[in-house]
Amino acid sequence: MQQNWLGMRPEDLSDQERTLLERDLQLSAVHRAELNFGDQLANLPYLGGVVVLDDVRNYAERMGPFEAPKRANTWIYGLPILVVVALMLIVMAVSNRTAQSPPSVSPDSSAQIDQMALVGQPEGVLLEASARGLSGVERRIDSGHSVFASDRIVFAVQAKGTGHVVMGDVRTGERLFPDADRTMFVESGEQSLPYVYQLPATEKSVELRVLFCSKPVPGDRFPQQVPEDCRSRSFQLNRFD
Amino acid sequence: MNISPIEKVTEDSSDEALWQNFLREDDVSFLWLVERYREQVGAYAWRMVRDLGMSEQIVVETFARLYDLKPKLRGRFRLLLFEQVHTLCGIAKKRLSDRHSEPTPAFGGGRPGSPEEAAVRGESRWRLEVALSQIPDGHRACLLLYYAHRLNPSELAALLDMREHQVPGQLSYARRLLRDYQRMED
Repeated sequence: MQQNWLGMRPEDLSDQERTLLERDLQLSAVHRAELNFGDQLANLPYLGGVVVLDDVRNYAERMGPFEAPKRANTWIYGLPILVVVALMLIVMAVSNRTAQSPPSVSPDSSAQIDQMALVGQPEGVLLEASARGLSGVERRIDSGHSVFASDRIVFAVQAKGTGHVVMGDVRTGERLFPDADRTMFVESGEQSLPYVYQLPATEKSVELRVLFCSKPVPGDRFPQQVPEDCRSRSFQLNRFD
Repeated sequence: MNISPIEKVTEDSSDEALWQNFLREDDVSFLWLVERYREQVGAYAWRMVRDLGMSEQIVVETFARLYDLKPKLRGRFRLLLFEQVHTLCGIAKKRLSDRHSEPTPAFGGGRPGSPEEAAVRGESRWRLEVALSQIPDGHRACLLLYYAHRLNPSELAALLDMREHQVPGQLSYARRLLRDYQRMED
């Protein structure tokens, strides 16, 4: 075992090292020789010029105030690492964000697709409705139910397959939704219609119908006969007396 | 800073007592510290930079710095002193190397070429000085600060930028180097 502590001053030795020296005379002799060799350096003289306090004062006045010695800022060597780590984190954050959040489809992007040109395969359609009264309470209604003239009726379609949706009044031939020469192409699932219906005050009963067609239904009127390529569902509403 | 009244000190008072009194604006205490350490500082500077003129300048500048920086300095006086000397020696070595000057060997027997120097030639001290001037600066500083200027291992570690447990190993290696160079002189 390497004993580097040999040659150290007695006050710098540990208790264990002192005990070792007391027990081992040979080790003690080596230690003393090493210490004596080092202590020779204390006896080397200095024969330079004699410095007195006036020299110091004059020098201090001539040189002006000193700056306190600055400690080496070793932490500064860590800065490049921090910068690299920060850049890596930013890159990871950006790439994760892109991975987790696919580019959102803006409302306008659907307009970029010409829905009028789409051809669907309608298999079936259901029409559901709910009425919201003046109190704000919303209630589910089925075909044949009665509503107040003040009720706001909201519709939703349950579609199977794909196709264009259009809704209208069967008896008057009025096209309610969507507007003329517009269409709403839906896929399987439930879709709320962005349309609110209110029973005409002059009518005691209406028959509404939703068409689910492979092609858009053109014109500003609602067909009284169900076209061949469409599936349909009627919905009758009565007015409370 | 809490400054207590100047205590009565003598030339034989401890370093710390004198230094504390100097911090209370007692210049006489500083004078005694200069008297006590000027040769040690000069000897260290001389052996580190191997240029007599430069070492004398370092002595003056070391004490001038302590005189000027006293409110900012904290710690044991001996460590503060040798921190300044060691730093100045590093600066001086760089200046000397920039000037491409021929360093004056740091022989302890007087100015090179002087009768004093001639008198000590052939002595063991001469061989020791020559060997000391040949070992690397870091090892020379380590040996001088520990054996000649009595810094303790923790102070040495702080001054030479190493860990305290490395000090015995550094000293052991430096002694071996010094001994090897000394043998080469024989």
